[in-house]
Amino acid sequence: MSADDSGEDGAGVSRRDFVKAAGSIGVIAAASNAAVDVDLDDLWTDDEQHYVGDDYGEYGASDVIHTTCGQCNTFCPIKVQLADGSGTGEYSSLVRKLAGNPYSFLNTQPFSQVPYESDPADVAMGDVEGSGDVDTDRWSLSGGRICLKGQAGIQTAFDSYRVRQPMKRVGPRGSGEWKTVSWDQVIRDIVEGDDDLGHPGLKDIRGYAPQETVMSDWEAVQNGELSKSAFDEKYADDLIDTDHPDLGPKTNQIVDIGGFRRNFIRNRLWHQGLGSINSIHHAGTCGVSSVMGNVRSHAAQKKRQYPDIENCEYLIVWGTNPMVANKGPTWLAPKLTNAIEDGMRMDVVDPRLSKTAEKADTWVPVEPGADGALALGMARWIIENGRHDLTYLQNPSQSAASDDDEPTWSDASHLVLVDEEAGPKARASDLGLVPEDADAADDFVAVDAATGEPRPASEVDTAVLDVDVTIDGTAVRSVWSQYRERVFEHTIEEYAEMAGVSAEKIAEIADEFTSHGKQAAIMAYRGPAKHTNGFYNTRAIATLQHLIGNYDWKGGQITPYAGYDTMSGRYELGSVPDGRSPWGIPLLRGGVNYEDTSLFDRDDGYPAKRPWFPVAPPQATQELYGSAADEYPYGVEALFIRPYSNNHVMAIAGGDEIPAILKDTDTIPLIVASDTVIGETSQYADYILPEPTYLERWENFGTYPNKRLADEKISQPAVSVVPNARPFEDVLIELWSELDLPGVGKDAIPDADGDLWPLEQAEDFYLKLAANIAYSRDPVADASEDELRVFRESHENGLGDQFALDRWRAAVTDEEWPKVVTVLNRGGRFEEPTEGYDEAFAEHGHGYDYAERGDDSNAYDGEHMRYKLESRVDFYSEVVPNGKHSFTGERFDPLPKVDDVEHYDGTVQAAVSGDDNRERPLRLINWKPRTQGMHRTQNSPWLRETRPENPVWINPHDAEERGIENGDDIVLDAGRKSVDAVAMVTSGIRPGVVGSMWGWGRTGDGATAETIDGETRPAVEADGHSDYQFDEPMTEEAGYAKGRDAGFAINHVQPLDEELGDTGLSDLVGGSNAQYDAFVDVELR
Amino acid sequence: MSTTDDDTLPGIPNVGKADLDAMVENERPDPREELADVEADTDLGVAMAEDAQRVARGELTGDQYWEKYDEAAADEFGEAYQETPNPAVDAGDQTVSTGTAESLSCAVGSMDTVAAESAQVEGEEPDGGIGAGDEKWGMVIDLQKCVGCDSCTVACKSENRTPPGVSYNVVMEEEHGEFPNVTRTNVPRPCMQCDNPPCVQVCPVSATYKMDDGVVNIDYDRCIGCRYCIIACPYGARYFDFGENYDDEVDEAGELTSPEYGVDRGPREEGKSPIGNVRKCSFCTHRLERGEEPACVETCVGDARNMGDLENPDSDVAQMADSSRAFQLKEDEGTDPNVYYLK
Repeated sequence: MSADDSGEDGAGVSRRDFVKAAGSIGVIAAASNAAVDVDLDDLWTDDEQHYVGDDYGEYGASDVIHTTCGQCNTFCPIKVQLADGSGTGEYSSLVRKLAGNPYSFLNTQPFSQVPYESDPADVAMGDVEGSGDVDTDRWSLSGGRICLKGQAGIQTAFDSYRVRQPMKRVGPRGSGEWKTVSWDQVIRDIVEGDDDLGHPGLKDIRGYAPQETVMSDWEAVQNGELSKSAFDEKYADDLIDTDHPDLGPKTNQIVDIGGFRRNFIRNRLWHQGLGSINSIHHAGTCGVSSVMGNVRSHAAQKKRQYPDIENCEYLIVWGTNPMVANKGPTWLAPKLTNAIEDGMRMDVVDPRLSKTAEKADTWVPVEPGADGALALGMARWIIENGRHDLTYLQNPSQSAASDDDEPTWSDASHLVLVDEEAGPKARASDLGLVPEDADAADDFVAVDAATGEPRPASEVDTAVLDVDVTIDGTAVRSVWSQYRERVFEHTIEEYAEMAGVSAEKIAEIADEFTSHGKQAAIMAYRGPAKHTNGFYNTRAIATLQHLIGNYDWKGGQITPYAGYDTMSGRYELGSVPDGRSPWGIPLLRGGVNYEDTSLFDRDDGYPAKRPWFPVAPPQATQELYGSAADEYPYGVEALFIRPYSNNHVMAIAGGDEIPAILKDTDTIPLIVASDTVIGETSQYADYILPEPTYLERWENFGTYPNKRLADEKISQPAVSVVPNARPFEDVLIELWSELDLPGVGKDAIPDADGDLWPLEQAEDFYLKLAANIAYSRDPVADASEDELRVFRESHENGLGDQFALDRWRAAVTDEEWPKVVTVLNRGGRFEEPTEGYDEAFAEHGHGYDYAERGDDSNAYDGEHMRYKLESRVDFYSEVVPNGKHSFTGERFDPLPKVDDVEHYDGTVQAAVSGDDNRERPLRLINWKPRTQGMHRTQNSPWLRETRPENPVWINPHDAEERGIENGDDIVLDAGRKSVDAVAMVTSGIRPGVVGSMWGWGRTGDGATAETIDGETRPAVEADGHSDYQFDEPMTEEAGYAKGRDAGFAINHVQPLDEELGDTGLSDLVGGSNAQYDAFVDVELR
Repeated sequence: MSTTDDDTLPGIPNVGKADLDAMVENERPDPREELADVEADTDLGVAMAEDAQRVARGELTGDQYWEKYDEAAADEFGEAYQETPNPAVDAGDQTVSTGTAESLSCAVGSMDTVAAESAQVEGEEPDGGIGAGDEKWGMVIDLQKCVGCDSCTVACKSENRTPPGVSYNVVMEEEHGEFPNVTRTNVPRPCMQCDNPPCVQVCPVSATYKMDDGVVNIDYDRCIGCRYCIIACPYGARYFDFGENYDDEVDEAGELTSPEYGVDRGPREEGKSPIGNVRKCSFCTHRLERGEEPACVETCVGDARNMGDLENPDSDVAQMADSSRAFQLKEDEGTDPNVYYLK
């Protein structure tokens, strides 16, 4: 110790405290003066276990359960390694370790998964022939890969701040005080109402009448056949408003907000059981504008676009970060790193140097929100230089396309009725080309290049692209003619100016993109999409793909959502006997034209009070709370929140406005949250019900859009940490039973023969789902006796008393059970890369990584993907212009375009094509940190210590101007709000742009004190005995976790919509919440 | 970061080895700060650590080292020092030479024997097992593939259940260049398992030594927590276990521990090893023995990490470590790590 250090503070550690071997080496002490050749055996061996032993933590299949990770929305198949039961907790088993599921190709890249039929015992012991050895193979297949968030899942399940009992608020909403209540009481209160808290019960607001009955009576009222008062009387209890029956039944005022378990809770319970149209997922806060931009660009039921990485020669990653985010890093990162090492060029378009951009050949730091300009600039270069695939574009139909070996075709040559209001595409019968009853009557029309005549598209081999004519008095123009005109509205230099990317760079990437035939692709997601112009940005990017026609080609775009049957087959899980049909105007006003509703007249047309989303699904979650407060289109009587993936206070731009709305019991009289913790949103509920974490419950998370083989994942309970937690499905089954609603209880689920099965607990549904998966396509093999034993043992080990084997077995037939066990033992079903895979695996080993590339691959069909888009792709969407902007009444644009970022009333927030008037000069963007999945992983100290808070990235140019250095404390001024932050000065962000990660600035889940039954639990404090400066940005290695409240909440400094004032900005076409359009300034603190 | 130099692969900044070495050096703890609250003498520790590094570099012999420090070490550490053999990493298969041992009146023995014998627990056969040397474990990390995601860091926390402030594996990150020609380097850093480890040389109680399988062991029962090894390590790969816990926010956080070096020490308890000891990456030898690669390798999302037997010429890692892309961190230190990087 240093001379000036007394060593008396608590941190001082005396070596004497830790000398424990002294006694055992006493013998040697006596001998040491005499002899130099000490018997080492004596020296190094004593009663204590020194050095090394032979306890390696061996485990077997009975200690392993394969299930699905829920730490982010990638949902990786995982292997849960259970620990020997120990300790005195309430839990059934500790979790020793989490890893990827070796049965899944999603977690074993760039290698191959173990064959599906491999015995779980062999897999657990690493005994599958071909799975590699640790001494000779660089990576052996014991467990698969998962990311850091997945690794930290143990700390989600064992979070000390879990909700353990049903809780009822004490005092006003948000008081932070709770009392525990029994499940019986909470069910009774929710059904019957509670005078204490003064909320109604569901039985008071469950009125429902079918649409057909109501609307035929309403027509009778209009015709004078039924008096309005009789109508009012008849439907007073069933309709929200008898003056506006189109709002739908009263049950629409019972609203569900949940991310997942959609098939069960949304489709079955909310829609068909309750008859409420309002079950809302996370789309508005997610990339729905990107999804919709792709939906409107492709005629098939496919959404997101991905590259076929292994065979791609040139990849543009656009506004997404697949190395550590997207769907998902575990799967995409190892493919990308290997592809790059094998020579693929990857360029990354992003205003900041993401982890993916770090690996790029060229980083293209685009101006935020100007992605559409960049894409259209590229399109102009491509068209001007004749680099588009003319043959592809001149195919007007599937038959013409297949002649060229093209699985897809485009609408480029199709003619549009330009004089009609919404500009629909012409059908053959519209132009009198064929009789109205002809087969080709509904065909699109193209001008045949061979004859110059307009013909039904299916009859044309090669079509003329540029058409602008009048046919028998009807003006028509080809899609290409209009698209080309749109692209040519600006010069490349003008696009370059808008995008902040040089014209040379635009030319370079456009050149590269069109230099690899079909083996070039784009992966785009949130970056371009989460602005109010996000839909059009995504459309512009999608049309670049159209220009080279790279869909379904090896090395091009892939879109397969290849899976196995889940909802039908053995059991019709989506079918509810005597179920209700939800109807009416959705609370979030998606998929409905304002003009077609009775509210249009009531409110004197434009502008509508709040935005409508006529061509997007009703999932603009950012509108929910303001709509409830404004009772527009109607009020919310009861709100059920599952904040897993829907912690809106944190996730919505302007989410800091939500608490005030939730606190008002007049606005929403009943709020029930089913949550694992007391979160930022659930803390304003009347009741919080303890939910199991993903490691403790059932689920069937959706499959990926970016893989070439089929799979289906199943989540099953692996451990029980909070014994009194109940999956929300179980709570709803009980509530629905009390309310006598259809879809639950006896005779709820029909099987394939029409026999009815009960739905009393979640597993009744999910085990049948596993049976559907097991029998889909070729049924899986029966589990052997050994496998059945392993299944029983592992679940007994994991779940203890909570495992009821007989009950599980009874959920399916005796014949199905061994197949269900096969699926459960493997955590789902995973298609193999080749036929005869087990033999190939044994011969070539798990490093047989080219199985998915070779001629015998199940991934491909010749030069094409086996799972295909196989559809028309659209430059021009005739759906989009059917929708109108609900403030201005202007039709949306059928084509991609350069658009400004605007508030609802048209006020420009961020200009793309012109100048905007900014009070604060810096554009604030944000992104997903590699350490956080949604807002549900900040409870992990392992994750918080790898990234203790969210510094603000700022370019040296902007930092110097303000006298800011790396690590300085700063204030970020967003106008309506200022927050404290730390600066990270980096050349990895565009000058004029600053940014940070979301996920910090928490006020829930242990970030603040909560009182339960009179006992107050303080907030989590930072770890760390020392005051070492571990958290300077870029150097926070081996750091200590800060408290759960560290950093600032990026969504709470987002601008509010100027017209609405209670939420952030929305993309009215695509439906997304705009989250990258704030302007701020920063200064030293 | 458009690359103009054709030899430079994308994603790997044109950063020289000197830059990487400087980055590692920058992350090391300050020796005097590190020892400030340790009872053991700071000046002695700094001197011994610096000289231990000289031994690795071949500027000083292990014999000279112990001749130089015998008295001071005996004064400082008393019996704990006097009754253990003095490790000398340059003494071939021995600790210090017999002559030096005689002159210092200290024990001498074969480090190999120590390692081989150590596999013998309660009379078991000495063949096989941790440390026996059937393989020489080595790791190869491909910097072109490392995406800097920290999955290895958290996988290691989960596997080894290390306490707050102890992280066997970190990923260092550094930025070079100016907008828009900017690059970042991610350098994962486990224990290098050096063949000439200064941490072994400096240890006054031989609590840390080299096993025949290439792994540097820490015997928690012998470690007296002087932390000299922490500052002797040129890579900053060693940490002190202050006894902190995650208990205040994670239930049963200390219930599970890892059987490091094949020893299950049971739940984490105050006053019980490894609390008060120095800790570091063990290459997950317990996992290797059961046929699984270290947790960081298994989970590596970029497919950057590779594990295997460096002495088996047919093994993938032996071939990778032999490639023209391979290098070691701080090669000038003479430590000869068994962790190789590919540039």
